[in-house]
Amino acid sequence: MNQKEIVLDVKGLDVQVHSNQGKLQVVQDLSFQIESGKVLGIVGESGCGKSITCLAILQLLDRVQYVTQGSIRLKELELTNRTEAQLQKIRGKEISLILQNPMNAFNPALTIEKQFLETIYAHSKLSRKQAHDQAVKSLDEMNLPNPKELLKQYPFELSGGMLQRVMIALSICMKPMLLLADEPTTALDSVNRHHVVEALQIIKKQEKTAILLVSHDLNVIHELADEVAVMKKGQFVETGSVAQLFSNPKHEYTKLLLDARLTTGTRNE
Amino acid sequence: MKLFVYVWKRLAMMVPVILGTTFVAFLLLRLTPVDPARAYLSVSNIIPTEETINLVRHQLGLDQPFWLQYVHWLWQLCHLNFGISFISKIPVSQELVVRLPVTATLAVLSLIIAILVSIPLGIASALHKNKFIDHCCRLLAFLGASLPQFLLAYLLIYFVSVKFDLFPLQGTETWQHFVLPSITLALGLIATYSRLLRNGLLESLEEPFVLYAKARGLGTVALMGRHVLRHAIRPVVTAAGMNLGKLFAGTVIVEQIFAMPGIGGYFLEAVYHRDYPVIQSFVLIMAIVFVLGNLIADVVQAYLDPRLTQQGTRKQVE
Amino acid sequence: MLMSRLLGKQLVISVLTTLLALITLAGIFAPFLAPHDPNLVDLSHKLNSPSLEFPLGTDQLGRCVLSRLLYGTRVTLSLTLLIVASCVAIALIIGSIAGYVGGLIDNILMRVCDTILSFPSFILAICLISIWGVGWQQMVFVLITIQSVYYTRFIRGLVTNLRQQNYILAAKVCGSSPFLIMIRHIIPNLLSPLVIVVTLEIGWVIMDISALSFIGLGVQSPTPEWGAMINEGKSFLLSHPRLLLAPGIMIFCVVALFNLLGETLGGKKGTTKSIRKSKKEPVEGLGGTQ
Repeated sequence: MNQKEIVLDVKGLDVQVHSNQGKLQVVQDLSFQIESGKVLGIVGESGCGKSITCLAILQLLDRVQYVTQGSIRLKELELTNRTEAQLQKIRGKEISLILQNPMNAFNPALTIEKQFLETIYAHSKLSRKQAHDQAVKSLDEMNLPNPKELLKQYPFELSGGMLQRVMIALSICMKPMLLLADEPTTALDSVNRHHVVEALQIIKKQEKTAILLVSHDLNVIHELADEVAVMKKGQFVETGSVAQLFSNPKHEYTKLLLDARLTTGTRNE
Repeated sequence: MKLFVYVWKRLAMMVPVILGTTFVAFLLLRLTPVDPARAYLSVSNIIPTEETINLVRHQLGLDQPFWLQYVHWLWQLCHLNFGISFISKIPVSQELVVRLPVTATLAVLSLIIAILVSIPLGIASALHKNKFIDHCCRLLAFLGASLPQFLLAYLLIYFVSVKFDLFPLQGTETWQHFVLPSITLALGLIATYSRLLRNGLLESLEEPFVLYAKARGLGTVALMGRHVLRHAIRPVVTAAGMNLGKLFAGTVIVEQIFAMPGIGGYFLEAVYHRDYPVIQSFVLIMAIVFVLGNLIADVVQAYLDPRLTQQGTRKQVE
Repeated sequence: MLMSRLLGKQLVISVLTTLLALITLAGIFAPFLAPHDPNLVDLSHKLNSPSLEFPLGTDQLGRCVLSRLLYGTRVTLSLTLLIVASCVAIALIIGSIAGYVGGLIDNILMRVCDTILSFPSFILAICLISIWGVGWQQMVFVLITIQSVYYTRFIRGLVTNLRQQNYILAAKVCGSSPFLIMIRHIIPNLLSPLVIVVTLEIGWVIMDISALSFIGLGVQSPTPEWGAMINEGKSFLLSHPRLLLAPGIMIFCVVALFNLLGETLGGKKGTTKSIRKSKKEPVEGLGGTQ
């Protein structure tokens, strides 16, 4: 409708890795926008630079090893030249991240509650009681059973699917503008995948959060995304709306991906 | 709560270990090439004849069957009776009451110094990987591995005490007396711990949960303290637990040099004269300290990583 | 490590080996090199400062410090050689049998080894010496006992690893006897990691010998041994520090050279890490760092 709704605006993002073997271009000239309440799906094979893109948006890439160029704007705020202290205020509050493997994304030594509370304390001045209620509330919103008991548990006492939903709850408890979901369903079985997709759908509809969904699972992309970008070797080879891209792929690589999905789909059935 | 149960279980597990150690300590002394009765006589300046030997054997209970001797000894140990020294004819426990605190203070003090110094050092060298401070720590670690403790002690005495007259030389009267010996013992530990911590930190920084904690916008203090350091310090805890026993043994050397009346000197004297009750007690104390050190380390580990207690309770369920 | 990066590993290794060879030669030819009899007591020359006749001066009994140092090199290095060689021999036999045969024997043996290794070696050494008595023979015996446990564990690990390699399987299929496989295929492959471990361990053995001798549980005076020399000289720390410094510097240099050589070799072969891991702690040993 109008420009105010654009939450994330990335222009000309370039990422180079500097290693002993020399330089390697991992992300090349990416430009995309996400509006609030919309989901941009990025698909592509492993190692094509999807995860790097997420970390680049959060400015979490090691500055010695990675050289980043281009502009990343969160609403009106340019992220590329923020100080570490300013970024800390944005990470977790305005932009949240969901990682691929929930089993090792949580600190095994701390209860779920402690990890919720430290996140809430980092971004607000809530009391312990209020923070606790906030945590319970966001777990509840994700339809997780018995949130109060859940908070007392350690990450290793929960299943992977549970943890993934806990991670989603944790990432939305500060009501971020933007959610980066990096392969949120890859490590899960189909039942849990369904739960996670549902959870993301709730966020999309109710919170009006902009979501960047990175996945190589085309089914998930199909269910959630509004726009899709196909990534290969650090570049977008094709972008378009879900309907258009799935029904009428233009690029060879997109066709290849879709074919692969069809064959695995039929095999599953 | 789980931690509490875990501690109790570990304490219960200690009992057979200690019991086994007492048996080994007892058995080894029966395997010595020299008859304790003869050793007793020679220390007491009595000419060993058939008659006197038999008399002493009877006095020491050596004429009884092996198992009976062991049970008797164990029973005495339960009453904190460690036997009577061959040399001084004073009960070993009386000496230990005076000497053990000195050694324990020394060992614990060095451990505390080592940990307090190596944490900032390890953090600094991890943050400035392959920079000046990191190379300094590496050099320190190398020195620690190549410089014998007794040499270090004399170097410290010579340069710190004699040249600059900073700390008193020998004895245990004031806290200053403990400074140099503790530093001697601590220096090697600092080298080890700071390297362990550095490598642990560098590994932890790669952990996904640290990345996730960063992504949640945690402040530097919370991030480093609660997530990185807590994870990275675990090898140091294990090493420190194992080192407690080593430190007690290391005091044998350091106590000699700084003329401190701890159990080390007492033990050495006993070794020269084959004063078996003292040797036996020392071996036993070493074993207990060693087991205790490991126990403390395990409990701290369990606190740092609750997965360990979890395993314990799961086993119980099965 | 930094040094080898700057100068090149090959050069560092050759320099270190040359230095160690020189020290060894000095020990072997001590009778020709030493200006005096190391045990010749001459009270008229006691505590002399360094001079042409006594390059490093004399000790409290008028004995030539340089001669004692040279003979001390002999004592230390020959004891070290004796200990390390015995350990390697014992470990090669027991370790490779345990590793190759596996099964129950291996299990029991390794449990025993683990139990012994879980105790700090210094405690074990002084406890064993306290039981078996004081003297250099006992010290050598005790050190062999303790060290060979560690070597056995190490070799057993290597052999277990090698046993599963395909070329061993191939040799078995070809009908080679276990003995032949051992001699032809396993032992040659043990050598290079073994050399590194031995180099690193020699430093510790030297420290052990000097530390035990220093507290009077090892080599006894008047035999010239570095640790015992420091013990004798300790009362003269304030007036004649050279009596302590001379043997002290020798110990430090020899141990440091062996450690450096071991680290450099290990870095070259890329096996230091696995070796370190097989030990309970990165820095383990008797006299040095507790």
